[in-house]
Amino acid sequence: MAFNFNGKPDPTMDEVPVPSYVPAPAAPVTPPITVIAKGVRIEGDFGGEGDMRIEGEVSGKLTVGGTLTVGQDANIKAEIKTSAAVVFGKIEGNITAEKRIELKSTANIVGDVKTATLTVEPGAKINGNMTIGGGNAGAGATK
Amino acid sequence: MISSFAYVFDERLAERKYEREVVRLEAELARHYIGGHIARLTLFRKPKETIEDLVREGAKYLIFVGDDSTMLRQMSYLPDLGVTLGIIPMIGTSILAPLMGVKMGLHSVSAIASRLTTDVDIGTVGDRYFLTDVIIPDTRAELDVEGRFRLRPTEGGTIMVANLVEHSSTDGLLDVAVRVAAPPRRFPWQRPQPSPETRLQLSQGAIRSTEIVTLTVDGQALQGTNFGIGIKQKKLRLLVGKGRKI
Repeated sequence: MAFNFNGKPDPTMDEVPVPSYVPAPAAPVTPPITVIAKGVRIEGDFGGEGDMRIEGEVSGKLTVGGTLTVGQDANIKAEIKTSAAVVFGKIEGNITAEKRIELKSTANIVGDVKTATLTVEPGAKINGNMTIGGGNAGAGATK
Repeated sequence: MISSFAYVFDERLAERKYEREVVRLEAELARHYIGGHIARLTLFRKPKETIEDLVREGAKYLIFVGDDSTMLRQMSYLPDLGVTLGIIPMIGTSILAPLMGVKMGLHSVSAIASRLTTDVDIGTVGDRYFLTDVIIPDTRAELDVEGRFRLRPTEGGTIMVANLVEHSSTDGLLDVAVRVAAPPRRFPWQRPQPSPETRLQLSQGAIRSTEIVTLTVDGQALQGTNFGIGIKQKKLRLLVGKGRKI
């Protein structure tokens, strides 16, 4: 509201709106975790930049920028590319992880495994070729 | 004097129990020099016409007085009017108020008077806009995400596509949640289900169903079989308070 010379509000003049724009509060820096829970099916070329946890069904292609966790009840029939993976459940398809793969005792992989570091707990099953270490190093092995 | 503020009052505020509160509000608006045209929504005139008249008459700030639904019921076309939106929550509780950093009742007037604004994303479903969320309860509908993959609850579930999420209202992404165990609580006093939830984000997609599904869009029902969904980044300008979370 503008004021006239006697200090009172002047109704003939429009108020002086000085809108101050404020940006929204900053979003978290880390990408959000994607979760596919039990009872949900995904078909196609699926992926995400951050970490991902799968307890449901996925078929097709799976690309994960962070760590992929495959739950015990998960049903995955896909070609997987990820930064790292922790597997409790079953995967049908080849899996490539840039950094590491951890196969827990309940893991069951039918397909080729390619990664820099592989950790296998007793009881884990792999039916396919394994390439461990950088580049093309590694030999085919079946457990 | 033509004020740049205009107020849209919910029809429920015409009830006698709100009479005193409304008088006090009008006095408070005048005290902050942000008085303006007041339009009262009624059954006898289309709200869209009333609101478009206010904008035609020069309103730059459109303030909805009532509860969340007072503004959300009109959200399907508001972003295209090119005005800044605000709320004065007077009825019941508000989910939008804490997100926007606006206090309840008369205490919200100072936030409106400070003219602090922020731009937020707005979701689209079919040919209409939505601010908060789209909910498809108890469905086997399929969600096609950007033409790359399809998602569906195998035994049925509730799909929720949310736009206005704390700290991510300008990221150009909609947040999808799928709950398979049970639909959202029917009564406010029920505890939320602890069942695991599917969560992912998308910028464009489609809801497809072989049967007619009923969507709840910003609290309003919408029926159909196929709906495109998307997001327009920073399309809507809101008047917010300092404690905003969006």
